[in-house]
Amino acid sequence: MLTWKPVEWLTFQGNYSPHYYETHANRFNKLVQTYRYDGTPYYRSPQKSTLEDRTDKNMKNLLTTTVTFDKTFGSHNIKVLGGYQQEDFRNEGHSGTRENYAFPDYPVLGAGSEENQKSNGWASEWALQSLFSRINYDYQGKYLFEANMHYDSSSRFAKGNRWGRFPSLSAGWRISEEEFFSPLKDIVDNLKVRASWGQLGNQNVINTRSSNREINPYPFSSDVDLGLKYVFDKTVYSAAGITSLANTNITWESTTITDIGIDINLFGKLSFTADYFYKVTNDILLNLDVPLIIGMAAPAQNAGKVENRGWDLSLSYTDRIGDFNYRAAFNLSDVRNKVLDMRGIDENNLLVNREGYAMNSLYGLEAIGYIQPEDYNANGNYLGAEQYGSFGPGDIKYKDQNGDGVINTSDYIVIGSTVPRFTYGLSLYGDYKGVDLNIFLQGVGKADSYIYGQGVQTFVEGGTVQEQHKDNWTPENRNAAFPRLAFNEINNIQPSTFWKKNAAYLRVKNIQVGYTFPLNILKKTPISHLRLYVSGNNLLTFDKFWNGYDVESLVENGGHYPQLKTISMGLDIKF
Amino acid sequence: MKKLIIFLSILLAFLSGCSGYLDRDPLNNPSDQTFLVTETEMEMALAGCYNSLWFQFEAMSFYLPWEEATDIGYERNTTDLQTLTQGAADAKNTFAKDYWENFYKGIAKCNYLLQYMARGEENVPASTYKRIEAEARFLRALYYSYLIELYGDVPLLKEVLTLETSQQPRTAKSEIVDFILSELTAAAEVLTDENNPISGRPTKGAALAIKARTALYNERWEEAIDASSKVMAMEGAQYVLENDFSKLFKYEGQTSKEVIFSIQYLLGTKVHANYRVFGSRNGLGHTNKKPAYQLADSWECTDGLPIDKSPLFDPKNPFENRDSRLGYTIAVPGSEFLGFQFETHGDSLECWNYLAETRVENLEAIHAYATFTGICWRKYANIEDKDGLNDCDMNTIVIRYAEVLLTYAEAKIKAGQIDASVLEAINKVHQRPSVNMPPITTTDPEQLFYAVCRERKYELSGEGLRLFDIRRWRIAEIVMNQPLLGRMKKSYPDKAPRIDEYANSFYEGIPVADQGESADYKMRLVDRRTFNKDKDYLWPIPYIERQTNPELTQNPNYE
Repeated sequence: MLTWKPVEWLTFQGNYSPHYYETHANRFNKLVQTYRYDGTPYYRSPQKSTLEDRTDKNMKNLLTTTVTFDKTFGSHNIKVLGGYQQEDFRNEGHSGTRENYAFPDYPVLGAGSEENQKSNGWASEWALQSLFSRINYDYQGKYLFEANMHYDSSSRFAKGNRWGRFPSLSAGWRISEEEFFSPLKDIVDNLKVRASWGQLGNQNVINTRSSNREINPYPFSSDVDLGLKYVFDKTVYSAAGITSLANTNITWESTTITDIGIDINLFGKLSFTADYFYKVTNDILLNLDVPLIIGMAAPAQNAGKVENRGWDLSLSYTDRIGDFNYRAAFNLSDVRNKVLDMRGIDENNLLVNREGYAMNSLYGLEAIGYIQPEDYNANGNYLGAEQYGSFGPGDIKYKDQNGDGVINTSDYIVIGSTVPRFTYGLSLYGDYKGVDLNIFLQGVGKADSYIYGQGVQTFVEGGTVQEQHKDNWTPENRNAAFPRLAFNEINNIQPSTFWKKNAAYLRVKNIQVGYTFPLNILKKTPISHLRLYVSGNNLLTFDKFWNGYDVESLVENGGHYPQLKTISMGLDIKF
Repeated sequence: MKKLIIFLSILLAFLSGCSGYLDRDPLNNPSDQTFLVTETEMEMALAGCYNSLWFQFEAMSFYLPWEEATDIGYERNTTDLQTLTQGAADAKNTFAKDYWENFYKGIAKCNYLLQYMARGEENVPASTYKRIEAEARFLRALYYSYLIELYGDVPLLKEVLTLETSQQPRTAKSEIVDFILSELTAAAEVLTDENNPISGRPTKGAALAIKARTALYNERWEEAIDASSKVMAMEGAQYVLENDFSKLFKYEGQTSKEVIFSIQYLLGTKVHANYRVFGSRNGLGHTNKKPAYQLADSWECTDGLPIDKSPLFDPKNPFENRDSRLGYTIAVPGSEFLGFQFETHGDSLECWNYLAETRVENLEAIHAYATFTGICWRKYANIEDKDGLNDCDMNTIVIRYAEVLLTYAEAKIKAGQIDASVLEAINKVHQRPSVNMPPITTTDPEQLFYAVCRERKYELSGEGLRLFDIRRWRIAEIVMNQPLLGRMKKSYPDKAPRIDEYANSFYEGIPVADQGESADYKMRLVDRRTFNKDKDYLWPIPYIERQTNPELTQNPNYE
């Protein structure tokens, strides 16, 4: 960091920070032999021991230079800042793999079999540049104004699409500092209204179709994948091919946020904040579906427009009664998300992004009860729309949306939204003579979620049934919780409102009790601060979700590792 | 002042590296605009075209699961394959979509090579250049040959597509057939005669054999006769029927001269798990995909008569005195399979372990997920893989010489040209030394046609070709409306089922258990199928294709 101040009100600063880090991963997967009850060998899992040894080297260079002008003219304070920043990053790595470890106590590459040994190496880099400026102005601390301008560019986009322009402005008025307000000043310490408008850019091109969320540094470049192989004459041969489509038009995703808010502080104890915001994200970077006949993986595209409209409220009260200090804080917010314009198709089995609905909406059939024996006529023919496979009484009945007499993909509609609504949190704190208590509750007022597969459905892929399925439809038990038991029948496992569940919840997220030892006891020791505490996380959850599953599960088959209830004890010591 | 100079000079030093700072091109991979200029690059791009052959469904070679989409196979998992076979598929069926996607990936790689290889033409010797081109044309034609049989009319692409040009309509199947036949004819002129199945590359015989198959499937009799005759002209020198039928499906069979083209596997690079999918429970397999019991009743007795007519058939010992291909294709109760005595009778609680030479618990009788039909596929469930059941690297056969002989025979019959060469061709297969069935002698066109249809079932079951046969003979609407049956747990039927002219078996008069009923003394009802003849002769065009490319129309009755 280099600073230079030629005059009082002008500052030049330059900063260079290099960051180098290396990660090293050694993954040894040991063969486990299982046995039958009579001691004869049974399955081996995995079939052989394998070792993967991998090193990654990463180098980041960050350079920032700024010039600041800061001066006060009477009641006017002005600060102007201008700057330039550049950042580049390079990753390089290599790995080796061997299998068949006859001596699993030596997990090093050399101890494995040379047969089928593999090695790999890679490198990639990216760079960013940015020019920015900011103006701050305030008058007597009453009228506040700020404006920003960013010009950012990224190496991830092709020439001509690299630069994005992102301005923003905000203004505030501290009404409590006005002359006319002074009579109320005893009660209201601070009353401020504020408004802002701004734009931000995003250039993290993540492959939204892959689960590893890795950033793609070269989405614009159409290149040949050299990692393919084939086998000729029982020998491996290198192969090449284009496996993913490039998008030369790709550019910044931008978000525009408009916000108005108010802050009130009363009596020095109560404070209240409220915000209302409207946010539109444009040119969202998404891997839209493309026709499969292209034969290559879908590229990231600037896909469309999504809006988020919402509000935040928060209220907190701090006070004391004698030696008892306490504080309570509550916050509540809601956001309504809607896709305004989707330039293409983005569907992924149950979750879809469709215009007019929230992102990641659930998509499926509408279930309207069970098929009952009365739905068949005297000849045994079903009177409703044709459903899936060998369906019969006790199966879920679906609504024929288009009235064509057949239930199929044309009867799919948006059946729910996974975006949480009305999220809230309550935090309570109190301390008395060294004992402190902290309670934190949080929850979601409204959301939908969905679990499918062996998690909640019967006999899927040769799977089993659960206790809860004992309440299944029979002619004597028509209002059962689950449809009739059927093996290898697909009617009841179609995506539908039947399996959708309410994912609203209230969770006692954290309770912590602690005791801080008084200073007069510690005086004779080198310790300056000692606190003992017990803390519990996720202690209780109230929800209407599936029994035994975490209400915050992803939409999948229940194979999601749930959040853990933990209780821990700790000691905080300062010397 | 000095500080200012230091400051500005450092700043300028960094900024001068500024222009071009943002030009970052991939460090791993070359651009597609400059690739295909050297011979190495072309060979690598060609090898990439073969990748679609490695496509697998549940770790099985891509065409083997198609057997489970027919009347002779059963898929136990609740997958979209099972749904498709039950006649309950809609356009969102992922099994259908995955094959569509895989074949078009292969076609895209072939198109890239064929469209741009001219860039490097002067850098490559002419014979190598032509050979590379011919192999790519073969692969592209092969992928199209599967697409049309599965989906009917499909987009015919001869060039690489971009996002802008991706809205392609479907082309009529017959036009694509013309394309396939002409591509294979051109490839056959360049490819080598020499048959070396381990090379993994197509030969002249391979191009002609696939041409004959495609022509046969699409009623182009003359072209089928012509192509298959040319392959038969190389018999002895390049193509020889294996004397031992079972050898074809063992590791030593990978180099057999009967194999015309096979998918290559190699431990450590690409493997399959056919052993685990087909293998018995005692053998540590999962019997996940299994043959229908009705298939076991299809083979004739050693006197050449079907089991409902032959005096050699004993209902209590149904697998005695039968065409040996029954035992080579499926593991039947009473045989040795994967080192164990294979028995699925409910009372056989123990069986013999030949490898450990001891009696063990018989999982085939007591395990809940032992084969539901009482029999297992034997082709490609190879005891040599027993210690690496997920790491099988035995090459699997795409087309072999026996099929070419049967193609020749069927085409000649349909073209009305029955002569001695037709009977000779059929009998070479029918009377192979390890099979040795009595010769076929009829010359009646209809009877001879049925004889060839039966021969295809006896010879090729378990090799992924049944789907195309039941579609083109239009018998799918009969056999796919039958339930799939498994053996009686503790018995065998008192009499043989009715065998029709196509060697399909029908169980009128034999008790079949209802849902929930015991299957100890009745045939087990394993799967109920429905087949709508106005829909199920084709698989659906994937739903997502129709959403992203509105130019595509759908096959009837899927949406």
